[in-house]
Amino acid sequence: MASLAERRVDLAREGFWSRTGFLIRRYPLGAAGALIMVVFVLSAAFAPWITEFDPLSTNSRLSLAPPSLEHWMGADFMGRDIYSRIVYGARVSLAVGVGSTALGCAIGVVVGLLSGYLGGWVDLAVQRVSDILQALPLLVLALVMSASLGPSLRNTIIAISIPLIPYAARVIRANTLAVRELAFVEAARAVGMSELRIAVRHVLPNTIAPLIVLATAQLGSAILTEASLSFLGLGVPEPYPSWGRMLSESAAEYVRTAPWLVIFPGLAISLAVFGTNLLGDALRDVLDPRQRA
Amino acid sequence: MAEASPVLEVAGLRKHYDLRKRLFRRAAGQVRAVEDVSFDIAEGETLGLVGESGCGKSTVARTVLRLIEPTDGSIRLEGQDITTLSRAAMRPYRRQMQIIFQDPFSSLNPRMTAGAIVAEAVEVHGIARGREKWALVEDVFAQVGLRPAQMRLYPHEFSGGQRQRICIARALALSPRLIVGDEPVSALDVSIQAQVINLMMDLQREKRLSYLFIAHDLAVVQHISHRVAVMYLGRIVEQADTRSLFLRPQHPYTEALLAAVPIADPRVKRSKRIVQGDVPSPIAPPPGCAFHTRCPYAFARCKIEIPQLAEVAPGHQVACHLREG
Amino acid sequence: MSPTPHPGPLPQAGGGGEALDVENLRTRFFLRRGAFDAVSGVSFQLKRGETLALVGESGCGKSMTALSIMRLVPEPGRVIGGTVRLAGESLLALDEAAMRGLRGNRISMIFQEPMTSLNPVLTVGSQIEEAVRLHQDLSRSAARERAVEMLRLVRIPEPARRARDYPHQLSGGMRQRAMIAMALSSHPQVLIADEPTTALDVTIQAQILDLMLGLQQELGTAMLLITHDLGVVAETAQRVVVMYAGRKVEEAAVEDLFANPLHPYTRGLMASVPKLAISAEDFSQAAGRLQEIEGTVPPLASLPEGCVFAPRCPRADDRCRAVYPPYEEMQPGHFAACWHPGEAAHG
Repeated sequence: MASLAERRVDLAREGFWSRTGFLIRRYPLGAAGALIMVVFVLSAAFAPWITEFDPLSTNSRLSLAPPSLEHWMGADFMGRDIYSRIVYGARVSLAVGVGSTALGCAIGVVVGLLSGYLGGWVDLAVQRVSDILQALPLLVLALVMSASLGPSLRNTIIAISIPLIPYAARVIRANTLAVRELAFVEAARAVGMSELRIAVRHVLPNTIAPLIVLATAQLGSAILTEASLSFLGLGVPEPYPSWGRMLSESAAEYVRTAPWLVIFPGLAISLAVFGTNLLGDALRDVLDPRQRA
Repeated sequence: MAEASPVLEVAGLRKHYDLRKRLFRRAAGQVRAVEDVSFDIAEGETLGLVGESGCGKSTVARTVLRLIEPTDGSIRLEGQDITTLSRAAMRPYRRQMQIIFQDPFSSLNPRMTAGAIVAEAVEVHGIARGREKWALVEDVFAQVGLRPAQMRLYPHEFSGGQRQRICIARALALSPRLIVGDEPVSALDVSIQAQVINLMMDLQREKRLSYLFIAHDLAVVQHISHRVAVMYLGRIVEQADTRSLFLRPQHPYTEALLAAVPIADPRVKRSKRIVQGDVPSPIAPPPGCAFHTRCPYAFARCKIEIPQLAEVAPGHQVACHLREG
Repeated sequence: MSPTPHPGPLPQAGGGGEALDVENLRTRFFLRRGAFDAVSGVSFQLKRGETLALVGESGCGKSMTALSIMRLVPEPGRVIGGTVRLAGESLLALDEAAMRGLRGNRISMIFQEPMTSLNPVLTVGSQIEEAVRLHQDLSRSAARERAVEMLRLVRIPEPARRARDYPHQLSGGMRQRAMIAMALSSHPQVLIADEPTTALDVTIQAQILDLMLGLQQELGTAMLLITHDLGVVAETAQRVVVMYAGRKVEEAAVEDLFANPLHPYTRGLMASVPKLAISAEDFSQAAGRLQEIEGTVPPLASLPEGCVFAPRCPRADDRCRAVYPPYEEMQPGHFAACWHPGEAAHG
């Protein structure tokens, strides 16, 4: 019977398009999630080309204009084109989302690897600090960090990355503990390799795979947290357009009179998070059974 | 003719594990995984180490390679005492002794190609670089019966027997004097076992390699070993050249082992005296001779006093009160 | 209170003297890239009280044959052809509920790894009890007594105490005995044992084999023994079926098979296993090099034309590579599928 490993090789040998077609048919939800994310990324990248209006320029005559052919999503209370702000806002959301996830994972990998590989009191200390960090809700932690660092794009990325570190570290640590016991690690020692080399060249590459799933899921969470922070006045300040701040500026006052100020940013946030969740779930299904093989 | 000094000399090897009681660090007892084990392996010779689960043979293999630190005793590799060398000082000696594990699947890093795995060993010891290095890898691949084209494949693309060959290639690339095989063929199909056993024996002849061959399959051990040591609960209970051990076993446990092996010949109806009872746990070994609980010949002294290894014939040692004087 | 009496072997459902009759069994695996047959046209009869050994290496289909008989084939596999009769009753025609009623009751199976076959969170006794209550109409206390009796039957010392132990508290040999007890608790007509002793130490293996043979005689159970170990075959089986790449390649009484292996694969297998020498005579006969079977088993999804063993066979010629040899009776009771049975190598 063809083993799962052999199946993976088969898949790798086929052409790119037939592989993609197979994946889409097998994981339609994941494909939808991927599509959503691709749309956002492309929108963010090509923002100047797909928008007509400057997201920052105000026009009091257009204040609270409803959606029309010219302004697809209407205008906010300052007359700024909402559609442009949504598209440029994607840049912010993605920057913060990807930036904080990447930073959090990178630090988490180092911490988790050290913790799992060295064991002993290093592991003990790291685990307890992790426990403390994880005991606080994500948002609260991000809030505290953001408040102490002050609102700015860079600080927002840092603030949101910190709560992510223990999650990533946990996953990497668990895998490190497992991989560390495998025969090829012992074989590497028998050949005479240094512990550092073994940890980096042999253990690490075999622990990273599940992190991909975690990272994708965390991306959605990061986007949501940024929105929350900006909503609360922390997070990303002017002039960057942020979906969260768009909500905070308009939610209370205009939700009944000009709902488009609230609906579109809300939709954008929901869709982005939804997309990452779908993608993350599908990735887990695709990667996990093979990892066990 | 002057005797060449043995490649490996192990004397009084001990490995004890403390059982700790949770956080309070009071040792609740000890597991004597290896107790007072001594043997020599000459150049070009294979010492077979047999025994059942819990006997400590795998621990001996790893301790000899300093993958596990011995509690006591000495290990001399080519006359050099390597028992307490630091990691850095051990490095050059690691070239001289390599190990092949039982499971060909987990012995190879799934994310590295076969060629890269073998090449890394060469790199780490600075044996060759660049093109020379790859030429060496190709050469070693050929020696184990693999093609150069297979160097760029990943472990999961090989069969179990081929994976074991890659492990052998990795060991050979360093030109060791001693290779320890920890059940190297046990996980392979019978017809593949034959290929790997033949390969190992050919290599031994060509390169004057010494093997410490650990296995539970007595027929395989008999085929490949020049001398055999039988272990039970951490101790060597009998040690002799292959022929003497299998033709004239002196220890009741060796007899029991031999009697238990099913013979692939339906005409042979041996009256098998099947030894009863289970292998005792190494955590709570029986007092005196560990085998006395299952030994058909046990008498009073066996329950009290641990028998020591004594020579009963040239080159044939046994630890049994029955055979003493 | 007197112990519950043994019910003795259960009455036959009708049909001939065979406990198990397998005919042309075919099990196919449906993968995305295509399908292949893990079991391809396998037939054999198992008489009451007899032991039949299915021998072969990994991937030959012996375990899958057993699972097919028990109707436990995992996805994406399915039994697609043939008949399996248990004392005359067709198993493949039953619905799942009826089949469940038979499993563990009239046909049982034991596996290689006793640790994973036993539920770690239930005591050994309660697991046997469960098996007993499932198939026999006994009260809880009667079932408990039966469980203890079974443990005694498999020669576990202090069975009443051991029944209250959890699997991890027992040694490997004891666990396997417990598995045997569970499998035999309803006195099945057929016991399928898939590599029952492979994971055990050799002295324990001898005990378990001895036990199984003794119980088989006492209870009249027919046994289908799956193994790769020719020594175990020689000591326990009356008839042997050799499998390769999902097919039968040879079948004979055990003495005939070892005395005169006809198929080159059987020959190769026997020659490649080192034989334990225990007499001076054995030693002088011992070969220096083990005979190898060249090459490896072909992937089942792409078997060669003609005889599946031809690529590795020293006797193969063009006819072998073109046409699959018929499975025929070459000598009384001795069958093989080979164009050149029993010959020495060509050229």
